[in-house]
Amino acid sequence: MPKIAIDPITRIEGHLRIEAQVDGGQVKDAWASSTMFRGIEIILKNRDPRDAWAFAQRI
Amino acid sequence: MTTERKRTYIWEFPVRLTHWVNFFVIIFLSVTGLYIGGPFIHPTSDQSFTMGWMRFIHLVAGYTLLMMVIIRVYWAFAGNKYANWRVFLPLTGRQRHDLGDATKYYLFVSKKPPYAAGHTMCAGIAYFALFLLFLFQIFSGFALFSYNSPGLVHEILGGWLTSLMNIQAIRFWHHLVMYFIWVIALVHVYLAVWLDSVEGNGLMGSIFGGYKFITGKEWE
Amino acid sequence: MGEASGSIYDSLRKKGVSRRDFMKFCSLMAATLALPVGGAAKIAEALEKAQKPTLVWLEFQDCAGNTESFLRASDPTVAQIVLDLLSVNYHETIMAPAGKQAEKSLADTVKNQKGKYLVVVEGAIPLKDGGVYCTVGGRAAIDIAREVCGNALATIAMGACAWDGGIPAAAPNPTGAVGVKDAVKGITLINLPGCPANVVNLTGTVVHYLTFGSLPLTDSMGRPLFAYGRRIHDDCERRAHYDAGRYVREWGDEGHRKGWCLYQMGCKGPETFKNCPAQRWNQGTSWPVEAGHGCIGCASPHFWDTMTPFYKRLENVPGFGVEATADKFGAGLAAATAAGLIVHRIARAAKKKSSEEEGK
Repeated sequence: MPKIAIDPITRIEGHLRIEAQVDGGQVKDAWASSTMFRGIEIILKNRDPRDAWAFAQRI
Repeated sequence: MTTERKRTYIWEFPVRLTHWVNFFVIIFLSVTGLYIGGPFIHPTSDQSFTMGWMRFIHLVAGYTLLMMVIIRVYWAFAGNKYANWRVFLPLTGRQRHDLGDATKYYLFVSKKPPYAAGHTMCAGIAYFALFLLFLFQIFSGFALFSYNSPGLVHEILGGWLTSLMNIQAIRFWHHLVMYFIWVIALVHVYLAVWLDSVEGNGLMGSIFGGYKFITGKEWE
Repeated sequence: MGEASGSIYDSLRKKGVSRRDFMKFCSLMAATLALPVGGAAKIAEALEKAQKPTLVWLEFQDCAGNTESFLRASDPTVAQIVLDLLSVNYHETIMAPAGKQAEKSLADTVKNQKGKYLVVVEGAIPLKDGGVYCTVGGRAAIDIAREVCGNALATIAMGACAWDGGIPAAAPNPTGAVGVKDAVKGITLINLPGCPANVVNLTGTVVHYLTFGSLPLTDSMGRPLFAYGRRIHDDCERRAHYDAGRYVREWGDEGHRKGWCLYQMGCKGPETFKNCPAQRWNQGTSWPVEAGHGCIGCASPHFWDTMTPFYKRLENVPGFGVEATADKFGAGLAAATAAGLIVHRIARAAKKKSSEEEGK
């Protein structure tokens, strides 16, 4: 069964990869991967809580 | 037991001048600096210019401190042996010995006061540290004031510091070092008052008139 | 009037942009770039003759904030920029094709327009673990950046992340994120810091290039002087309140409602360089201080670490707890010294008394 990958998915905010297993013109299985990681939650630790909104907003 | 004492000129005019100007300048810089860091006066009228005046006084006092530093550095080479740059660093064995003696006395370990004609070695090191703190305040202060002000003068006075430290770090240490200077000032005044009565050589009067009454048997 | 077919002015006219609107745009650009008298005319002349330059837009570890800023452009609107002023061949957020077709647009540009296209980079580039924390089309960001920027006429790093790593690079930087300047060496690079950068400055940079054939003058950090040469504090409309000593003390207090200076609320205007007070945001609608919130210093180096806490003027003394401001620490130090000296004085008195009693 052929597998197709569409990477990058465009016209979205952010990065996304979609893979699909296609059989006879129908999608039998599919995977979505986020292809970018920054660790905002790790970065937020040990900071003044009043600043948190500014960091989280940049997600 | 009476000891023969001789009235001797110890602290020359530039030493006393810079000392007293610094005393007032540090007060002005501290008060205006505290305001600049956290304005504690609430505006009273539409015409107030409080921050403007505080910064102006702070800057003028800062320049004055710079002048005092320059004068004192010059005098450290041009003045008498008590003003010379060598008294501020424990370069000789004798100086290192006196450093130990003085410290032991302050901490009640020894009962022998460090009789000094000029500075004790403790005083010398403390004033050298104070000098370094003054230098940092001057450079960091000008770095803050002239952040990106073009011109060679500003670059020399403090602009160069911004390429070594980020501006908020400069601000933070400029703020904190003021308190370190206060600590040295507090200890200085305490020891001066105490040692005046211990040494019995007119120590407190000498920073005004310049003369001490020394026996000739002091370590320096 | 542009005679050459395909010139920028020609395309704009075909799209219905009036001569008046065109000249308005040229004047706006001349003002942004702080050009002397005659600047607008020079820009108009250049755009009448210039061919559409090609631009590709790369997004790495980003939030698309700079794309959003780009979408808020006016005079001309982004549609006009995309289709007419520039030939934007690749932009993942707005382009029609996806997947392999999208990658083909990029690859074709790099191959066919080698050395002639402009690149805008948005987002940081992760270096840790082989660059695996950001991939596009299966390729690591670092590889894409090296190839696309390496073959470009010039690269514009837009936003804090593309400049110095921005928010992904904030402590402890889990992915080893860096900006373009540290990831790709030996390229022509101009930096537009800001979180996000103001689209007016991007347009200004591109127009400068179209008019003069060169990138604008930059400071020692590679930021164009026309946009990053003046301190926000010096251009702020609330500066008079600062000098007068009129500060907001609490959110919503009388001073806040009267528009007083936000210095005490942590405004980082005094240490930040950008043209926000002059250009403002969203077609000149407003900017943070005008809206009543202090500047967060988003154009400053590593601002997520150096300009935080946003609501305090100075950071805390590290290692002494949350409330250990420099003032509390310093006052504590002075108080401890005074206390120590008092103890010393009492100890002296006690020693003197005991030595007197011993009959010395």
